[in-house]
Amino acid sequence: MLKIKDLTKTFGRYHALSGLNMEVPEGSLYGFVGPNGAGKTTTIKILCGLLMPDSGSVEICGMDIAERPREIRGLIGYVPDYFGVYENLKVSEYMEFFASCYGLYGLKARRRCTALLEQTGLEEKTEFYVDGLSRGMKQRLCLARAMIHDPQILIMDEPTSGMDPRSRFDFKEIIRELNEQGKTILISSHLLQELSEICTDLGIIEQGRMALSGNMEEILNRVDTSRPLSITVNGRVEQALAILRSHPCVQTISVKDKEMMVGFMGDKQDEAQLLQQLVDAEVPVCGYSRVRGDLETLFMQITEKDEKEVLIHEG
Amino acid sequence: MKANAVYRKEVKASSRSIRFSMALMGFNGILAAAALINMYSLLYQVRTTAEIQYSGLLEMYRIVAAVEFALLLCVMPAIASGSISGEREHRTLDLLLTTQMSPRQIVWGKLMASLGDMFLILISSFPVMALVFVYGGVTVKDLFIVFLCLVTTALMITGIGLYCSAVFQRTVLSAAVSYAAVVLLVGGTVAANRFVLGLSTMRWNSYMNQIGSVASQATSGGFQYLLLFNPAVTFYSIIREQSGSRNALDGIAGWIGLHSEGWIADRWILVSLCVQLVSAVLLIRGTARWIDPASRKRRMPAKSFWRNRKKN
Repeated sequence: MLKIKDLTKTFGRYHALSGLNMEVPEGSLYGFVGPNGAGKTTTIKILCGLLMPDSGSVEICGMDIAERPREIRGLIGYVPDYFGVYENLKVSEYMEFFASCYGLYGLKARRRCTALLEQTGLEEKTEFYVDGLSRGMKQRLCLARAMIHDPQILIMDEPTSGMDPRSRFDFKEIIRELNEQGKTILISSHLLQELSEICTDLGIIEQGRMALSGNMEEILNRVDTSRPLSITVNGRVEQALAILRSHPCVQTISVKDKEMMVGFMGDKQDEAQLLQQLVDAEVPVCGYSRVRGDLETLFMQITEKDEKEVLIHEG
Repeated sequence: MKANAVYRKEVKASSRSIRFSMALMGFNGILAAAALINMYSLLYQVRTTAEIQYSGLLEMYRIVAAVEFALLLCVMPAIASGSISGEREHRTLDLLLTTQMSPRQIVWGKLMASLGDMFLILISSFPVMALVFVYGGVTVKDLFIVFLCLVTTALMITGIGLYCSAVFQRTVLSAAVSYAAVVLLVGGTVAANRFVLGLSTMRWNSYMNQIGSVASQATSGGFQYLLLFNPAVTFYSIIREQSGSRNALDGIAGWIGLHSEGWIADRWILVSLCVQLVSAVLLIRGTARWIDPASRKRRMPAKSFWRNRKKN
């Protein structure tokens, strides 16, 4: 659906993107994360045709963005990290204005606007002035605006920043619903917990390059394998320790009363095998689980590693 | 055919704002005050001398037209200079650029909205201008030519305002630069000609002293063609011609060092109107180019995206 190849962009001496490669599968909800200044917004602006890259290519639905920018603009809905509203327009007028920017007029435009305002829960605000809406409502209106021409891809740049938890929850639900309807969504955010809940795919950008990308489940599995195993036994601690020490996947062991934290570099099958060994040795295991990994930890690991690399290079 | 979306939005938004209504009222108020004061002084003269000076009525036409021209110079930069920068300040320009409207269509919509305001200003001043028909002396053709000059001037000033609003991020800065450009256009071109004329006169005077003659042929040379961009000179020429002068430039030629004879001087009004129209078109095209992300990139030939793509 969306392919980025060797994308570079510099602003003076600052390299915003240095050979970014990225692929967003069709129908996916792609989380695009990275620290401040990593190049997320630059990438999004290039995708939307608001910036031209220095080199590299961007393909959306098989079309090159440099060759057919107008067609591609028709395939994309853009939700920036700001609202972009007009003071003197009502909600319905705002929507109809953007509908007319895509060549939708009259009854067709009104029907589309009504449907989208209903979907975003703003149907009762049609006669309100846009400027008078709350932050959450404005952002939902922006989402409705971005959907006005029924795009295939929605590109959102930190859409939930500054929202209260309720609005954020509602917004998340709308995004999930749109994804279920078949829209491909690329969402950039700092709220990693949120992304891990809704995204199907993830890309972590660092210093203008893709540090990690792939299916969310695979990435979370990868996070899990780097987390320790927590084993709680109700007696026979020495026997359990002996088994653990003899297992090839066990890296480290720390014991606190009956709870053992085991550095375990193995997959689910290895975990099952170790549990079987403990059970066979009649160790009374009453707790056996991986310490739950989260995206935040992985993100910190990746960005920390890159920071160290930079320091080494600079040194 | 559907009207330009940006134009429709601008009309809707501006109709809700009191700012333009106030500007319109102020414009017509000043114009009407100028006409009525002039009319009052004429009638006062009639009461005291029992004579009607028809030249005074023509004077009223000239004053009203000049006030209208001056007000237009003051109002148009204010209207146009916030067009693009205002969108930027509201952070809606990027949203517009991601729609299927081309930068040219966006600028066209903004231009039409500004010109719509200008036409409203000009048409609303018709009743005041029509006062000159009470006593005659001015034909509809005369008024039409003045109207044409005002429209051309407004187009060029709008072009300047739009270009500045595309180049500068802030409306305040854009407005300041637009007004500075108008001052430079109206006053600067005259000052440049006066300066060059002064230098030329000094040279001629020393030459005349040497040969003992008194005739001077000092001119501002090529600098006089800068005045083709000056809408005030065009307007003055039109009024001068309508007042019965044989050559439109007669009144100012000596003062600013113009050749009042020659192909361009003979057709000064037409040529200057054309020059100003072309300038307006170029400025408007420049505005569309400036806001177009693809054009912005193409302006950097060394790092051209297209060139890099070919290399890849």
